[in-house]
Amino acid sequence: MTLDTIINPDTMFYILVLFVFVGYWLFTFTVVYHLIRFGIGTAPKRLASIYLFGSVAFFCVVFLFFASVNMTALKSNIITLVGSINK
Amino acid sequence: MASILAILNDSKNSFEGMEPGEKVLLLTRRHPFFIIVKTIFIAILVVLPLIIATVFSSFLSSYDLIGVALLVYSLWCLLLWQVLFYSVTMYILDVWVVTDKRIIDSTQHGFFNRSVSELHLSRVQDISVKVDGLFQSILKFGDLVVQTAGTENKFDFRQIPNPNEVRNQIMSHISENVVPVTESSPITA
Repeated sequence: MTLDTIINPDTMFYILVLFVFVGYWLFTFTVVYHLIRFGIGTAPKRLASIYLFGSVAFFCVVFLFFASVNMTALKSNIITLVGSINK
Repeated sequence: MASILAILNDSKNSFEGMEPGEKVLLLTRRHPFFIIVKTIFIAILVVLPLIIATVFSSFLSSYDLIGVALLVYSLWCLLLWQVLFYSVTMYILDVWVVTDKRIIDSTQHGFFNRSVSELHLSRVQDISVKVDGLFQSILKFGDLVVQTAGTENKFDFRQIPNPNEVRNQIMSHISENVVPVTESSPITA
């Protein structure tokens, strides 16, 4: 295994996706934590549960769309598109 | 499980630093108008890409970019969901609490930037209400300024709903239960 096989656009892309994934759940946790820990009364707790449910649901939708995209076909489509624009 | 779900219904108006036997008389936040305006703006941002996608639908389908467009749109909605709830969190945590002993102003400036100030009810001298402008008059919200004894700063309740009712509630509690402290009054332990 060489450095070129590790550091290539595909790997960098998936590392970026991983960072976004971790950042997203950290942000979600922070919002839920603040609403439950510092919120006074029942309204913040209810909002935290709605938010958490929505965040999980949205994440699942995004994950499904992400999984359904054919990255190889997308690359060739973008190359075609860029080529037609340059002509 | 039932005990965890109970916080959604039974959570008392308790807060960090609450003294034993202290009762919350009033809990108020800024008028919902402000968070509703932000929500409407975010709703427009949700709909906007759909209109753009409709205009460019033939282009997207000719280059087989429908799947990518859906992915980008779902990511956009995800981002807006987070922005909305960040705003809601800041709105919910920006709160004024009136207890039978004191007034607490808790302001959230960001996730890790929070200021809490308090004023003992015995130091309240006067409460004035300021309703300024068309929206404030129609929607019945405004500022409530608590004047204090001594050289302390004023205490502002900004853009709260029904400020006159809040003032009456605080003043009636003070007149019934609290001995006012004047500037010259000795402070006893």
